[in-house]
Amino acid sequence: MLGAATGVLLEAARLPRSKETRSPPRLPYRARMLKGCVEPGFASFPSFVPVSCRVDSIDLDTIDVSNLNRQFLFQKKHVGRSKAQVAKESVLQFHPQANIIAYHDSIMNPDYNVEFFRQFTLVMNALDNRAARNHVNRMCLAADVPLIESGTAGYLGQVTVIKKGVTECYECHPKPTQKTFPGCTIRNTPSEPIHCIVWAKYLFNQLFGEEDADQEVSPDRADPEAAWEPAEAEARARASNEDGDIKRVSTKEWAKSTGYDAVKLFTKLFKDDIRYLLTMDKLWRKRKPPIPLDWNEIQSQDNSTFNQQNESPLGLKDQQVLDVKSYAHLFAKSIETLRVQLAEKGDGAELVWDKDDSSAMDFVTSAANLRMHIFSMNMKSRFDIKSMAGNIIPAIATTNAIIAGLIVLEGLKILSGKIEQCRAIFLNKQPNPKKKLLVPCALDPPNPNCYVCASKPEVTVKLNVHKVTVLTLQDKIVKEKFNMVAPDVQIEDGKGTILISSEEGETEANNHKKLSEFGIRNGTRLQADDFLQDYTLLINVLHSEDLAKDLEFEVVGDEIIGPKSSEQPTRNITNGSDDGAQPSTSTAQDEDDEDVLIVETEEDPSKNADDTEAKNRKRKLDDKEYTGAKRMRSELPDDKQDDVIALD
Amino acid sequence: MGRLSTSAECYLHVGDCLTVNLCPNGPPRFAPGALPASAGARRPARCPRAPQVCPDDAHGQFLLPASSLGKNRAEASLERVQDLNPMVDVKADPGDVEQKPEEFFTRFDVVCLTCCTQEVLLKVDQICNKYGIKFFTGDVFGYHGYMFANLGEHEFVEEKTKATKASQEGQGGSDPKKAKLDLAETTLVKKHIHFCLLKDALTLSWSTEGAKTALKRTAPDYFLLQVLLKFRTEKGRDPSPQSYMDDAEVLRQMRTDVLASLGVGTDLIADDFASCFSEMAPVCAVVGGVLSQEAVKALSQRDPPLNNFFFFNGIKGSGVVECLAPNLTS
Repeated sequence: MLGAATGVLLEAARLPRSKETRSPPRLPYRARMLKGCVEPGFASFPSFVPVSCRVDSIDLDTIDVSNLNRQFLFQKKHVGRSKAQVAKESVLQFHPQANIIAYHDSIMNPDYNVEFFRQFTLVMNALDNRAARNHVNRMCLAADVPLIESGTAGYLGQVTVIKKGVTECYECHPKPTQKTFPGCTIRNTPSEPIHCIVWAKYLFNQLFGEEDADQEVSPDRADPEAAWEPAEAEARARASNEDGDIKRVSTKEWAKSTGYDAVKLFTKLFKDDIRYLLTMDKLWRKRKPPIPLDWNEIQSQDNSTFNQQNESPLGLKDQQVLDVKSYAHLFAKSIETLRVQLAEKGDGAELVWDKDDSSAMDFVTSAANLRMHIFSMNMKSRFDIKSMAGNIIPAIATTNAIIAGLIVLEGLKILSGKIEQCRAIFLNKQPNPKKKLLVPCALDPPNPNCYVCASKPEVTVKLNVHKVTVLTLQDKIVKEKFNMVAPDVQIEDGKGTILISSEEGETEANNHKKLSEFGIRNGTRLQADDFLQDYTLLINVLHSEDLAKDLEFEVVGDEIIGPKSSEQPTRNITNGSDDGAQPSTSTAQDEDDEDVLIVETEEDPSKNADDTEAKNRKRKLDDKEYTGAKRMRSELPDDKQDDVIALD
Repeated sequence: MGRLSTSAECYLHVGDCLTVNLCPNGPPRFAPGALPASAGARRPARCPRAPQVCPDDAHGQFLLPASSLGKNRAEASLERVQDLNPMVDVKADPGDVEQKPEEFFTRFDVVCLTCCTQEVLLKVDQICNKYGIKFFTGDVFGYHGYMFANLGEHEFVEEKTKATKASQEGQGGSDPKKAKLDLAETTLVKKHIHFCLLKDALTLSWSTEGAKTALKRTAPDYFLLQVLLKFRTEKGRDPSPQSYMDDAEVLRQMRTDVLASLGVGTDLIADDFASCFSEMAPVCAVVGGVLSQEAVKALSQRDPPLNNFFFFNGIKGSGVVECLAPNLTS
């Protein structure tokens, strides 16, 4: 029964929205669907046309306590086990005939090659990071299998269908910097200030507010990056959850039992936990390890020793960045104030974090800054932190349910051979002026200049050939920017000089040489090839000596191709990868919606907005709907992020 | 009652919630959305009057183990519902909602009905309206799903961002640009909204000029719903794939009757009722997700609620919110 198959798919689609998102790579869900008879009328009578269907699901994650409240296939007894496997078992309980194959693995594992993808009728993505999304996008293009891509952010969500040569691919337009953070990043390996701010906010709730397993702050032993072997990670996860339970119950209790002793809390959070992180040595092979802080040592420090560069010494107090000693004191002082506040509320009371509450804000400012210092980041002013902390969007279970349903509905259209009926569907927070909460939009055709799905992908990169090394080309440009997993790069010089080889060790000698040493100059063409992704990219080198400071390269056209002008959200996103970035201006969700509204109101001249770009993109649907909002929103819920947090 | 939270995260703390009928399209899919969303709820959610588990259920409902065939739905799914969120006190009540006295409902803050006949819907809606209980109903028919809400006189707060000017004007010197990137201050604005009775929403007059104009912009799903509710009321069941030909014919006839009695043209609903047969799990997920979110909103009294119908068309992928109340079409 397809109705049943639908159920299976639904579950599968839901599954990967897991809380503790491990660091990349992440896992999608694939459905090999449809052997057996598909009869006419299938789409209208799905539940009574027999279809045998097989679903393969891949997830790298193990089940965490924090998953249980919203991922209904998992129960407490499953904690620590593979999500894919438990999901399969749970689905079989209510639908014993379902044919499901579960993989506890990363979708970016080379075993899942184009041949593997080709066996499926349909692939469904429910990923939480861009690298895996890009990768699956390419695998599906290479295998010519339709892909359903999805994402949620707070109350917003979207589902879209990608079909080679027919629609845009996931990478047809540049995306703004990723703004979601896996749980491991928050707990183990923060690399940006926002990670520390999120952590500090969680800490507030763990200590004074409502304890939430989703907001764990202690080191996460199940980090798959710390143990690449999934089996090992699973074992760790179990162990972690076994004593993790005790820890979770007791975080607040423990703090209470110490009488909210600031020095003890400080020592646990900024010394003991950090030391523990250091024992997970795999995490620090390519990262700068954190440096534990000692309360007594800090007390004996001369203030000036730790003095941070004050960004605006003359500005308001809130805009100053203090030194570590001051933050340690602020931390202690705010804990004392909050302790009293909590006690005044009586037994079992909870404080609610509020950015406008002075001591709550002091607490987050100090805790976040101490953590930033430990992880070698430049600390931030209270002002900046307030702005960033006020804009964290929580994951919402109901949004996931809606998006999961939409994914399946699009999947049904594909399975019944009606891909032309597929739409990109956007979920709004409030209905738009055309009264739509869910807005279907026509799928856009491929961008002919896309450097991924064009027939002969080509891109121009501006860089300084005398400064950029082969290693930078490999890691920052080919791997990070163009998302290849195992690239080979050769120079199109007639000789096919191999610059980078995917075989380990073959071209390591080249790593630290500058591109110019290989005769690469303005106009040189490089051919980058990823065998796994079946993807070849021609890179035109544009030599430039006047790149912006700190910029190693620039992809030409990145700015033009993207509909930047209409992307209000893009401009508001704090680009956390740069410590010096301006904080988000806290243009809240509503405004984003407002944007969407404007575009949607084409029939209402009074509101017909300034956005020519969006208007040009409008096209009529068979049901007389206009489809302007699409671009506007395409950046927003871009990253599936159940458990992760978006800054907006 | 929900707690008003000033932070962006809103948790539902307490709220007694009654979900009636674990019907095919019912709470099993609605509940998972609602229960996790109400993490922290400490009072009972109830699921009374569930019919027996039938073979169809076991396929689509993940709350019903295949082994539960023949059991009462509420009881059979209790364990799984409870598993979803141990913080919620879930009770099963195998009784018949139609037999419940008025006082039964007064114990709840929210009542959510699915798979009920129009009669029951109207009756319970009346009761809820009388006692200030938030009322929801929702159903799924094939690719079509709907939700209706009657929150009575509903108070809520909405977070508004004020575009504040740089608060540090005159502080000059240091970094004027930065100062302009001030926190947009958020203020909580108190609002009030009125909902109408389901009875009134279903018996609008479409004969006035204003109504005729409004009609053009009204989702035909509204009329389709009335046809399907009539079918349910008269046949005591929903259209079934097993009797497709007969049921489709009955639906066509009922369409003519219903539209005529409402004073609108028959052409509003096409002859083909194929998309209304059998429940679709993904449609339930969408409608259930929306309904659950609305229930959370109603209890937490945050954000503008959807007033008063939500119609989802799974073929088009479109979800429309219609406000269909007496004063709007007059």
